[in-house]
Amino acid sequence: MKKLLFIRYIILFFVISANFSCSKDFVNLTPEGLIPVDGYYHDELSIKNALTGMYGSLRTIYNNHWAYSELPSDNTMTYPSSEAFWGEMDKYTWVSTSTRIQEAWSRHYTTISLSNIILDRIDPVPMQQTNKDRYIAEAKFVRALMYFNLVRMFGDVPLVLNEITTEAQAYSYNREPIARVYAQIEKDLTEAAAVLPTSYTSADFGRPTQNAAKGLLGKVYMFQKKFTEAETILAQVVAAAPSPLVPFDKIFGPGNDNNGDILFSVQYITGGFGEGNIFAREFVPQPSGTTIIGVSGSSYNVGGVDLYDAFEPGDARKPISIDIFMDGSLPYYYTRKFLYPTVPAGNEGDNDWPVLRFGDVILLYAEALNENHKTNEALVQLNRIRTRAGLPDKTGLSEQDARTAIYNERRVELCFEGERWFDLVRWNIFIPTMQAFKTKYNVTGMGNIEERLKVFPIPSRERALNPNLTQNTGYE
Amino acid sequence: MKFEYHCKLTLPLARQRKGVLPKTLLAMKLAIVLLFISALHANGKVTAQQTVTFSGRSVSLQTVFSAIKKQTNFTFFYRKDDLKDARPVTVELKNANLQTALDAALKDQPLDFKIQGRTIFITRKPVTKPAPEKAEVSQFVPIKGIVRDSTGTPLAGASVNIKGSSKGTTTNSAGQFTIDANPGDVLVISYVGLETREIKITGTDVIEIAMRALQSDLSDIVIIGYGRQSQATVSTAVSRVDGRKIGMQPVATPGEALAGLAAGVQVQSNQGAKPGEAPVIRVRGVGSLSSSTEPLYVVDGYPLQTSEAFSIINPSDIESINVLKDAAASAIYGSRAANGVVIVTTKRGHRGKTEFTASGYYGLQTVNKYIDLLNRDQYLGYSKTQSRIRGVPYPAVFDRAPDSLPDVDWQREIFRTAPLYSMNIGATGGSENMRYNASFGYYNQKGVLIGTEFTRINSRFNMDADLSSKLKFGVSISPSYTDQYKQGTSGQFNTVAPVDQLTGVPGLVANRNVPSPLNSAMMLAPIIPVYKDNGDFAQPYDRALGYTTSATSVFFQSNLINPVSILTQVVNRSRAFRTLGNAFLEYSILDGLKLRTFFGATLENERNNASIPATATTDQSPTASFSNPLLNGIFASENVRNSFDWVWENTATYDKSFGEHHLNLLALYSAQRFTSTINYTGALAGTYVTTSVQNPLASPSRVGTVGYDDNAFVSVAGRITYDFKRKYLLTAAIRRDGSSRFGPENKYAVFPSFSAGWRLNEEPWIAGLLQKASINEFKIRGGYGETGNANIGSFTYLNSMNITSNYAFGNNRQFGATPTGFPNYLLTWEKNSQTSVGVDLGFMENRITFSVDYFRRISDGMLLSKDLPAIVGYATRYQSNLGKLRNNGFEFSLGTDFNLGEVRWNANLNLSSYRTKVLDLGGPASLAPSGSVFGWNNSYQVKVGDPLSLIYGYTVIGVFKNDQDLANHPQTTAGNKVGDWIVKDLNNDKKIDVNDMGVLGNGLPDYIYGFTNSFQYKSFDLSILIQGVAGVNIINGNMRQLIGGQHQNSITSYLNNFFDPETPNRDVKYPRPNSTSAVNPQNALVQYHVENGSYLRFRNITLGYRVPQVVLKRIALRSVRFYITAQNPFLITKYTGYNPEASVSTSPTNAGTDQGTYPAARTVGVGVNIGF
Repeated sequence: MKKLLFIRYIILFFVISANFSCSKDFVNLTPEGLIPVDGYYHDELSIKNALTGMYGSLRTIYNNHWAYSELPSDNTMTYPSSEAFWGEMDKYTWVSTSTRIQEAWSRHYTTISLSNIILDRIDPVPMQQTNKDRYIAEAKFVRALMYFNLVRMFGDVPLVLNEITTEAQAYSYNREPIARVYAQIEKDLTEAAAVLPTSYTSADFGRPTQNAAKGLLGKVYMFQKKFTEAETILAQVVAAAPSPLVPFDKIFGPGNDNNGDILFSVQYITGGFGEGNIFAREFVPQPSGTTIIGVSGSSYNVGGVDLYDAFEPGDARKPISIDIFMDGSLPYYYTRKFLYPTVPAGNEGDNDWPVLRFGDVILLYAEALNENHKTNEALVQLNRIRTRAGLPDKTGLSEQDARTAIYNERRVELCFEGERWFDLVRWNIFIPTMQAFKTKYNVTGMGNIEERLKVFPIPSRERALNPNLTQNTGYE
Repeated sequence: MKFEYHCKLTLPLARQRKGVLPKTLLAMKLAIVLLFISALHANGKVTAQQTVTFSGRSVSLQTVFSAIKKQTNFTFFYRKDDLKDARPVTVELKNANLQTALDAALKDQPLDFKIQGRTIFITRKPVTKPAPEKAEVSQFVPIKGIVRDSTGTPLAGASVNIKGSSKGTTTNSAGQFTIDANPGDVLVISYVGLETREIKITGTDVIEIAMRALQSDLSDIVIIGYGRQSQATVSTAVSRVDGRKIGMQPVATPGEALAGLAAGVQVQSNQGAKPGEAPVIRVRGVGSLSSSTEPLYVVDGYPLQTSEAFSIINPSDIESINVLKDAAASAIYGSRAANGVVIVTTKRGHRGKTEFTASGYYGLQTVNKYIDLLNRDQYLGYSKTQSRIRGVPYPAVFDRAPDSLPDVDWQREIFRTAPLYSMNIGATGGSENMRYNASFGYYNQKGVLIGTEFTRINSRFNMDADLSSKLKFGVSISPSYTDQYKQGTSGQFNTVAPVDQLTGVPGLVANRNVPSPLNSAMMLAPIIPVYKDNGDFAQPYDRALGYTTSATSVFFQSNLINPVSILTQVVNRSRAFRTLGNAFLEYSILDGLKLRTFFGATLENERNNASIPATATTDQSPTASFSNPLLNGIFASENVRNSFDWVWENTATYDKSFGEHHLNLLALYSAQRFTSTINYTGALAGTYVTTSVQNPLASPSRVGTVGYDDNAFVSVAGRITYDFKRKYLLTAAIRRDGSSRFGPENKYAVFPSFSAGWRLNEEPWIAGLLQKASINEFKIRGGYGETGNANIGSFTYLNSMNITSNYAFGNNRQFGATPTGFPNYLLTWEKNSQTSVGVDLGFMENRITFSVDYFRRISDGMLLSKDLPAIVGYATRYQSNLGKLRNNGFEFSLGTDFNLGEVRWNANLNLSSYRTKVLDLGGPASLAPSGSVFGWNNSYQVKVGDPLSLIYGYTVIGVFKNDQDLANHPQTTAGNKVGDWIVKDLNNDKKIDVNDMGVLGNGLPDYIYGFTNSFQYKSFDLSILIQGVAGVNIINGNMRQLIGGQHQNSITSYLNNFFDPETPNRDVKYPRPNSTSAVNPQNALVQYHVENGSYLRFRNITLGYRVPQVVLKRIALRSVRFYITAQNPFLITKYTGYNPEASVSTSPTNAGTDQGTYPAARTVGVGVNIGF
């Protein structure tokens, strides 16, 4: 009897184990160490975090923005010993297989995807409508900024406006004509400008204001030579510029972040979080050791004598912008704009990267006015900038001379800030300028200055994965 | 013979009847009898219908049998030994029925017969003690003896008979017997599963008889998944390694001792003698490109989650290791068996009086090879020549008398003669209903590299109890503690390989890289002293040493750091406490039907602490020293991992014979769950404020994080094993696994397998032929199975939020979140399918055994990272089941077992080979190439259609001696100068670029082999283990700096063998030291540095002596054996580095690169085993 009971237990035991084994939940574990993406975007806090994450991704992009916009110009160069890192951008030897080209493409699309995710997922999340509208506007501003960079670097690019969740979707995008991309940028910026606040409290410094969106929109118009539209919108922005303008020595460097000249900048912070900038170090000549900044420099983006000489005598901006370090008898022209002398480590710079500031917007406005044949009004704007630089006013110039004056002014005002290559291409003077530069300085190792160099090649990895992507002319 | 199956099943019965049966009768014999009885029952009556007609005078019994066989079609089944004592017979039979015929033939023979089905079983008649015949008493001498097994353990219940007489006895529980015999009589000692021995009586001394296991005998049992099976009826590929061959070697981990012992099992100690480091073990080739290629380890029935729990087993606790090699064998372990299954059984208790054992050994390890580097005088001359060619000044002190400079052999500064010792004590015994085995072991090994050490403390308790005649209970518990001091070795002088880095806090404190002391020691000039006068470690770049060439510069490079300073100060210590425990309950419901429930758990607590003190010189604090401690160089971290794993398995087995059909059925339910947590603590770099403690508390800015791991498996499985007449063998199994590791749409998979075997020696129509050829065993077997590789990490299928994408608005940091990774809800197992065929042959009663196997293994759906268009943004690639890989191979093993006079010689030779071929990479024709060592890029390329680990590099065909040469040969794209290497233009495009890199070698061996020999002569035993690989290359990465490195030390063969502009026409091997060509020793791998990595290594030689019984009696000990042992005493190789097994990477795609890897040590030691 007792034995029989035992057998029953054993059988029961097996039945239980059988049930246990078949239980689906046993192998459906919730990861303890992971926050799954699905279900994350469910409240206002998570949307805010997602926005912060999106801004955070800008740090990487703007750490290296100079390499894609200053090096391929007459402003700066990579010192020969550091050419392995960025030499191709300086010498126009970039190729479609280049990691640098791929990074530029990938990083911008990363930020675009982060903004698309917010735009796609915010709708059902319960929160105050005004907040929701603002978050949408911020995401659109950033998306527009990214496409603005992309279209200037690569020309036609895939226009991804939604989160890609399946592999098949990733292959459904082809390159869109530049005009289509610009149209989307304009749309995003117009919609953002309608919602974004005019200012923020210090806790939100770094988010785009209404004027940032409008200013960027004006710049976008300028790149399309839509001077009428540009003049209209830039006039609104310029009207909001502080008067007098923020002194030039209060715009850059430590302690001057988010000053009155800044419309939009990428925020960096020191303190061991790995959230500081790296450009503070990369613009400093290597041989200087620790005499200029706390760590030894990298010589990746040192200035050139051509830029040094482009400043008019007495220009107050010159000592703030550029300096010489003598290594024996060898001069290094280097940028002072982004110096952070006490930087504790190579990636711990605290100073921000200006993406859009009044110095830029005012000159763009001047340019728009001039192109719209309002040269005298243009000179008024130009002289605001010259006055701040301690230079005499320009008066009575012809439209062509005014154009040249504005071009020169942009170069010295915005040197090292990631405008020069784009401006040269936009003004259609890239080829003659760089050919003259190459000849004048007898630059060794520099590729032929050709039409194709106005844009980068489409990365070969992307074309290999998606053969529908065409290549830019001259890179096939 | 089937009794192996049945002994367990029938033991309870035996006990019940012990009152009625002679106590001395062996349980095994009883089992045989019972088997026959049950067989008779199953078969009903004897149906001997046929008749026999035969007549013969003094013919052998075999002749009669074959006649009967011919006429009746009945087959005979008998042990050959049993017929030895049969007398010739004279019979006259006419139409006699079978019963009568057999009665007549066996009349007055010491034999009996039973008919079962169509088989006639001939057995010995039960031995009956004859009544003492008084008349003869005076002639007999009482002979005393003791019978032991080959380990020296006394054997209870062995039969002792006098040859040619019916007299016999059995041994008692102490293995002792007494028998009356005449001098000159021959004693026959037999024991189930052991070879029968005959001893001639010469005197009255106590006779000691050592019994040997039958090599590859029918009775050999192999452990298969969830069961055991007689080797004869196994139709799959299983290798069995006796635990004694593991336990006898002075090594830290059982894996190391496995090298060369089993065909198809490759053991590579790529970290040499790094104390406590487990080797890489691969079964039948490489099953994956990206996931683990480690086999599944099953210890006493417990499928382990990690191989560490295998590596910490005390080798002397191991009873046997069985390796399930083909998928047909391993598929019962389903989703984790793709790389084979290593089944470890530990020693369990025997019934009888408690026996104690104590053993210990002590050994000294030395580095058995030093690289021929330059000494001071050679260096000074070389350095001056280099400086002249480079056009750089050398320090003025070089021109002083050489005696005024130090002459340091840096290799000897970092290596030492290191002791190793081990102690084990054990007890085993048990009562009728309870048996146990308990052991305790202590192992300590200091490394030959200073700063390395390993200590292991193990204890184990195994117990089996018969709770009732039908209910069995067993428990095993094995707590262990290990303590390992590691030093980074692999890698370049300034950066060790990632595995050797000091672990920081993920995401917060980066892992800390330390310089590789081995590589540094080779590169440091002999003129650099170890210490400065003030007691600080000297650093080559210290201006105070005087090796300066101007007021500001230093001759030696700044990131080459004194290795002694690193080895004596950097601590990377890992301490682990592990407990593996399990218990089972087994219930025999019916005859043959058993239910078993098994529960096991593993608890692991592992603590890693790493520290770099303020006084240690590293690349981050190059001026730190004892007299100048630098706080900003301090690093300290403390990481604790706690993991818990449990497994619950329920099996039902049914084992039964129906006539000549034997059936074994298995059903299994299993569930396993693993959870693990790691807590990391460290401090932010540069925040340390005190040198008084060497842990994160020395900083006020401590940071920490936590990591989790979690997985679950649930399985059902079934297996059917069937044989007919032990002739036709069949096995089929199926397992269905579910795992948390896989995507929700692919959580379950089914793994089927089957195998079949045919024993030709059991076929009457060929048996005679085989007999003539002395072939007693001839088995053909083959099978197919599918298995999985689940080692793809946990939750790989999911994508998750990264919450460290922060942003500082103004100066207010806010915490951001971004998605990372691309989900793949279809993610699943890497699938392996394997077809395997083999032949087993036994000659001369298995004195020679031979096996050959061929296998073809396809790994499909390998986990590879698939590229996504970058426009996806948040992810650029994702894990997907893509690639396909093939392994083809064969294995061959030969065993012999002979008595050469008084010497018993046992040998086993195994040789195996496999070839890999990449069949598919999910689209791309190749994966991104990878470098071998820093500076040598694209050395390994995984391409569709190629084997893995092909080594690519340039082929040098000479040196440009003059402008003429420059004009005649293609140059690199950046151009060449006189003194550069001339490189072979492989693709004939008149320029040298990466497309001219060709295959220079193969990092995976063509053949691996092992050859073990053991000899026994009287009280002496000798064993020699040889192991080796052939057809393999190794990249000697140390040469990157030793050949033409600026101001570094070099090898003697480089002297006067480089281009010197002063003697441009000299024939030299190496280019000008300052060659800036794209192909120079520093930036390209060329054929000179791809060396032949084949080797033959004497793994172990042990000579033992067993103290004779007479002596033991006096000192009241059961057994004493002394031995001397040598591990890795000899190495035969052409490789010029320390260790041809070295590999910086454990990945099968990057095999065979040596750079600073830990050398293999030679150990010579003495030991003793005592039983009491």
